Amino acid sequence: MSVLSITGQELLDIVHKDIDDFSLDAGYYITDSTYAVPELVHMRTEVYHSFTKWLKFIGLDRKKGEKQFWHRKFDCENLASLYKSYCDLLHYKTNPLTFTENSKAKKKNKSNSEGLAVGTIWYDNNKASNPTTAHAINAIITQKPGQKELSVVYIEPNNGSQVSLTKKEKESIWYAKF
Amino acid sequence: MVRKILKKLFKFKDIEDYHAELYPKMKYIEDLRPKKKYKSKKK
Repeated sequence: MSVLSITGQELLDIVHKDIDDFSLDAGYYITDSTYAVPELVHMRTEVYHSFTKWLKFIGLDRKKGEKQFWHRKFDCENLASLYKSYCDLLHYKTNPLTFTENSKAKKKNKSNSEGLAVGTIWYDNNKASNPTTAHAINAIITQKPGQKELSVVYIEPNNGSQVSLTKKEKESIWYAKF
Repeated sequence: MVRKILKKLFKFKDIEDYHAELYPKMKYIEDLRPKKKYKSKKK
């Protein structure tokens, strides 16, 4: 099986398509040349479950009665960045061979893409009690169930749920990094 | 051998066991796009 890989430009086009009124002031950072496309169900189940275990392992567990992983000094953008880094780490650990090693080895890497199509986005959360509350979550470029085309799925790293952003919220994105 | 006994008796874990739990293998979307065929240029 060969793994689907998209270029940085293709990734940006998918993000572009998802947001009708693409804000030209927003900073979209595409830092790798190619991106492997992760499976959505796997991301939402096994990967998220392991992510929460990993948070506990590094000492960022929720205390009893607490709903959130974030704290005043380790809040939503820190958690979103950590989730992206964790997913990037899994991509590396799944494909640890260098280009030269991979060409010689019997057991090859699954994917040779430089990055994984998981990013972090910053936007104005209109659903919050304070309508001007800025929030950070994750965005995954993947295939939604039953669809052939790739699209953007937004994930709340605090609980692993899929988030639907309103048009206004999508347009308010001012920073995204993949 | 000692490690094997410790593992069995006390559920002792090696670092690799923790890694297997903490870092599952990533699953990806399969590339179903038709592959490009490269033709060699004839002179």
